[in-house]
Amino acid sequence: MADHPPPATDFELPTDVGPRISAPSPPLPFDLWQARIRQLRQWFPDAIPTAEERWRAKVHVEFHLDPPTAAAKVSSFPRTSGANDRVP
Amino acid sequence: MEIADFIALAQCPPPLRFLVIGGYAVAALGHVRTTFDVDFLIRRSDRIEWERRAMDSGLELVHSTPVFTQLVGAGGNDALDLMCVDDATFVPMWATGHDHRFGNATARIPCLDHLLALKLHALRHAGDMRVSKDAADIEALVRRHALDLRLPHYRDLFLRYGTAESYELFLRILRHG
Repeated sequence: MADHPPPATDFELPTDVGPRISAPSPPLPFDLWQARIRQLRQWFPDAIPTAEERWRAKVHVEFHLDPPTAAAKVSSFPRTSGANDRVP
Repeated sequence: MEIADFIALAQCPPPLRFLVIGGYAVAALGHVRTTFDVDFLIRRSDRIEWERRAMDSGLELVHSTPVFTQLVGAGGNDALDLMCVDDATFVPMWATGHDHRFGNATARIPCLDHLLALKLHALRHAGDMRVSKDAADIEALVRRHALDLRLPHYRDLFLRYGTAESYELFLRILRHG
């Protein structure tokens, strides 16, 4: 088979398309979420990371809270949305 | 065992303070994704007591270091990971966290800033295995809460716990640049 050059990857896509469209994940009742996770465990048991895999993926550098810098202290703290009231 | 059972471990006298972190906290703050383990942030001084209670309830201690304890149930399922921090970190995280319902159980989660700090810390120090998960969580939380990363508050947060490269990347992804 003859070698072919790799396909071009310069698609000249537009870079200014305005604000990105994004939709937050829908509210999901906790019990339904848990049931789905149990279902996934049953369907795909081999896809669940083992204890050793999870351990290797852990960050073993201790976490510390640091004081904010002076620049951040003078900034206004924005309010977050009410997403926490909705899910799960 | 499920998260409610793990929460119950803390409620035996004397009660132990902890924060739910990881996938359950991310879900509580608005981004629901699959997670197969339960992560608690605990005071290091409580680690031995947590391990004793967990093993008394049938969990097996797999790993234990000053930073992390990993426990699993029968067959390697029902994973509980305990992340240990000193009091100087735990106390303000506890004070600014808020209680959340997880089914029939209630437990405290960190405030959004502190959860982002945990994720940025993980992203900064992680190997390849967990980068995509933490990055996706950060992106989703920023979108969900409509955070403007250009504000000095968030720039400072991202640079303190993450890296300049990751901050620039999130600015581009979120079209804040």
